[in-house]
Amino acid sequence: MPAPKLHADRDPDFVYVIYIAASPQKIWDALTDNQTERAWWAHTRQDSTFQAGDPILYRRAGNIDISGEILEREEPNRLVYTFQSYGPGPQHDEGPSIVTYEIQANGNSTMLKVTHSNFPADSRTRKSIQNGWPAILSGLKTVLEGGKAPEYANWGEGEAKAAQARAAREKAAQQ
Amino acid sequence: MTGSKFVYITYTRTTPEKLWAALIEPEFTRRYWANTHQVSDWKPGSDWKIMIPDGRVGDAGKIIEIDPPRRLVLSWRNEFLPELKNEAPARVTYELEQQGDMVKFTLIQESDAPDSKLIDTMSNGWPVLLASLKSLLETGESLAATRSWPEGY
Repeated sequence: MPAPKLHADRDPDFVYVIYIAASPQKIWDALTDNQTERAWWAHTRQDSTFQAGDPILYRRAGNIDISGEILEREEPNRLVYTFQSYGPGPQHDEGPSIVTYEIQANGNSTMLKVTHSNFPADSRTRKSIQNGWPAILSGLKTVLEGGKAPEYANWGEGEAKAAQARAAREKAAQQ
Repeated sequence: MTGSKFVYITYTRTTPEKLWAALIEPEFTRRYWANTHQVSDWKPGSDWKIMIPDGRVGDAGKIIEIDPPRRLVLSWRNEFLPELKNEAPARVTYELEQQGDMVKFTLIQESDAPDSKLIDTMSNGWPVLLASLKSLLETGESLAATRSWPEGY
């Protein structure tokens, strides 16, 4: 499998560390859930086997939002995949970025570190994900510690609208 | 790039008033912030400090701006780690904003010094502290590792 092309002039990596009172396996299971529309992740369903080399799709309200490929899997400690807005559009044209999950037991809780890397300079994708990850990972912590998923105002509204518009364009192009 | 900056955002199911109290009131901070408490009259221009359980001052500074329960800006210098004593003071901003049934908490920590060791050290400490604060407000239990002052410090 070809490694994603690395941008020569890059925006800085986005790194987010959170500690959750749950086992590494529970966190792994939530992050690799391919059965449910996860309320804590803006009602996104993932379509993937999560095996290295296999594709991954994010679907929201039936529309594909993000596509990528699983690069590395080491259950329950590490998952690496590529992440690209589903085309067409300027975020898609930035090419695939790379998401890495690192999950490490830390006493009675577990550290989850998300590193999102390989953004071109002035990346639109980076501007979008730097708001998304804190909301998603805060919601994951709430849910795994026994709470209800947050219902953020305008949760993923921009992305959902963009996905709808893309689907409409594709349908029009087919007719 | 000049200066150093660290931004960290969490969302917690609580109210801005409760989160504000949890950030400054001793009975809350002792439970998730390594058994420390803060001393200040919380007025603009006043001194502010964090007390370590054994009586040492951990960090200290001044209240630059205070608008409960929305915004607090502190100047911040480390007092207990010898390697950080001579670092330029940092500026720490707390912003609290209700969003649905969650409160968005934004921590901004910045220094005019490039490659600030103070920012570097603090940015490693905030995530576990703020994760523990979120747990305390949402579940009534902080994360065990953050309840006492770390041995040897």
